[in-house]
Amino acid sequence: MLLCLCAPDDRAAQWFTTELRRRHGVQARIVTPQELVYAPDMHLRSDGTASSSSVTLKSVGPLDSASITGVINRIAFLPDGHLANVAATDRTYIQQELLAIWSSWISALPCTVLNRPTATSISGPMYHPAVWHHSAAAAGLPVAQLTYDADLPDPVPPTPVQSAIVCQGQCHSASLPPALFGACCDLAAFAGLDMVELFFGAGPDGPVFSAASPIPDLGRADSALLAQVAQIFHGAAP
Amino acid sequence: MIVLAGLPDEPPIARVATALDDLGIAYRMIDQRRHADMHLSFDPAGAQGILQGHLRCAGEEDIALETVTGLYQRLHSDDSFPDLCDLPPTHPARVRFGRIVTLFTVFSDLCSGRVLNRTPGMGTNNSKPFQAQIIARAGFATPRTLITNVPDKARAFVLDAKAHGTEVIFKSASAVRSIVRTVTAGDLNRLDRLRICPVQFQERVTGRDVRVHVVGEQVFATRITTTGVDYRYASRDDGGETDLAPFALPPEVAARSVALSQALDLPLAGIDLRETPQGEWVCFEVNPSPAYSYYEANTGQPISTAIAQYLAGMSD
Repeated sequence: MLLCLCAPDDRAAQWFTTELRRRHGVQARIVTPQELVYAPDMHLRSDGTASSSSVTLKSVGPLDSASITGVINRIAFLPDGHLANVAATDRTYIQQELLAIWSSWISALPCTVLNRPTATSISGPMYHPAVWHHSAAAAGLPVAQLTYDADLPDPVPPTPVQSAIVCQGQCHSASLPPALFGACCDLAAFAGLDMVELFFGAGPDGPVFSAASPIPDLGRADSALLAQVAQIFHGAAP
Repeated sequence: MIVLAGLPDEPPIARVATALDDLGIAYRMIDQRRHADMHLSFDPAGAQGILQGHLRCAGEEDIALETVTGLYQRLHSDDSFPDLCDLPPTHPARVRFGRIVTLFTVFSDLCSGRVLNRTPGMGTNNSKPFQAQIIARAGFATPRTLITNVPDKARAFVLDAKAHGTEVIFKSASAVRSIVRTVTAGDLNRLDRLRICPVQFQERVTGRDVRVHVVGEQVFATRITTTGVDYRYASRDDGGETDLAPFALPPEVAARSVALSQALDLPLAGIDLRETPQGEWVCFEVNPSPAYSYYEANTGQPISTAIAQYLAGMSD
């Protein structure tokens, strides 16, 4: 079963998951971070060399790591409503523990995970906007000149007017010049993200890099991206 | 240019400064206590893929960021500074301090020189079970571990270990409150608290502790003999004692340690190993900002010299 981990109000992910099922016959379902954090039963076990994990979801029942065949990870943060009555210092500690534990739980899954969490970000590799800006320039994408200064507000990147979604080395965009697709793929690879949306503003000579998100707006996904994701998880209909 | 950033009198920084002096290598010290006098500005895209900007500290010559070839940083949070810690979080001085630290960290991540250490590597210690997965892939054994929110599973894990004569400890999974404690009978009576947050349990591994410091491709191993559960805190226990001595690591374990530090993107790493009576090498965790000075002071191992040489490009 392919799990799409996303917020309860992530309508784009709900549409994308529905289309994966409908068009490509992928056994995909939405799982929210609330279902994970409030799961009545979870474990991650390591015997020193091999690991195993499971979680019991109220909507699905028990799921072990072998029954999860793929993950599209779109978790931005973990819920902490159940900590409302916990003292502030303990609440901060528990939030850090939950982040560390669920990041490692998802990361340890043996299946393909788009995007695999890191130790500091459950969404996958995360960077300061200045790092994105540097990396975009290094990848060969046109960029605006931005100056970061300790005594000034952060520079405002160009207002996004178009975007591209890069998924495992393929760039999908209806509006971005195809000549930039290769650099987009290089930037995604440099960032270590399997799936990322890159935003571009309007520069004097064409698009200029603006920002990036590890949680793409899948409402903009075209049929080629749907087919690619279905193929990644080996569930595409013939 | 080599830059050291942090508190000049903190032993890890001070020892590298002394080593650079002894080697006759020039460097600039960025004293974080002078945060109010500092100014940092840069263009991340820079020229030809190299960040360009400057770091200014009142009364001193500017540092052109693109000329930095080696950086050793041990930055501290605002809670460590008496002039800041009592101010409200929104106070302009505190906000500016945070901004300086953030931008300096961005610079260190983008610096084209040698950096000890960059953010992505430093972050791996924020989730110990995550880091353990990388440790295992590097070929080290890791302690038998269970993370769960189910009291019965935790109890069964503890009792199973006990039946085999093994104690179980619990410790945080994040980098917060990283103190190891042995599970007691009293703890077993409050396992229902796991429902609010899973806890990491580990079988205690017996053997002798070895702290390995990797600097680039150089390895310094220190054997630790302690009476405490966790040698780092043994002196806080009743009657706790810890002795340190240089140790000759088997070559294959030394090579594995270098490979692990490289896998973690940590050219400077403090690796906590334990050799079991069966000769197996178990790795507990890797410290991305090791206070190596404690080990150097007790053993005379030239770790600060190795760091200075690494920063200067005199070693791999």
